[in-house]
Amino acid sequence: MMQQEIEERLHQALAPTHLEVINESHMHAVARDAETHFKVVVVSRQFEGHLLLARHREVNALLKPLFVHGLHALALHTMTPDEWFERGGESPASPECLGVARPERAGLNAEPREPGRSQRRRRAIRRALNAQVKTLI
Amino acid sequence: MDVMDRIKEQVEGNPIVLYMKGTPQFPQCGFSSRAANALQDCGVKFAYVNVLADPEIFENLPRFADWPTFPQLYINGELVGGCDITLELHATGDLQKMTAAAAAKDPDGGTKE
Repeated sequence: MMQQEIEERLHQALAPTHLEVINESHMHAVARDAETHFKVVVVSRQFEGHLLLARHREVNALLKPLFVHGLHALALHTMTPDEWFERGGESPASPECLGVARPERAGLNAEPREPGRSQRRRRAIRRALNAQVKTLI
Repeated sequence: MDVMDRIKEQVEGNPIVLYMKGTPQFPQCGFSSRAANALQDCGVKFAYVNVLADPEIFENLPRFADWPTFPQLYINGELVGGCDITLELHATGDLQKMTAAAAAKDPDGGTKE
């Protein structure tokens, strides 16, 4: 089981004072019983003095073998006990998937009509974005 | 050109590059969407690569900086992190500083071809 495997690996290597491994696969376009998307909240003294990038690298390295066995996405929240206390034991919520084709969201099925206020606003945002980003690929 | 060389050229030729699923206008993944939003909020120009549009980069980017997931944010050729790190840096105000400093070195944001 992917969830158990993640928990065991992190427990053994990081001696966490708090560990949550949450299967969030249901929020994504995968099979109903999938174990592909996980949120991991790990609080460990071993993170003290380590930058966020290094902490994530440590966790990614511990779970690396699982990525070839179906693990696809990790929402990672790595904290020291002090940081966890400062946050009041709260971790940010993960985003919902946007990958499923949702014609109603993209407005593909919508009847052509006069642009309303929200549509004008969306267009203005897109124009601003077009000026802000450079497409490499 | 070898795919690793292509990636290297992208991250070194542009001060800020986001590798994401979809585009900032039409993100195809919630994690990519959040990272792109954080960059937009910084108000600087940034480049992006839609990894879904290039299977070779999609396959090989995880090897480039030994980072297993998307999105990936690079500033000045260095991996900054994925979605969670980008959002954390944005919340503390560090992302705004880092992107402003990177953009200041190259006022066109690498938009010169």
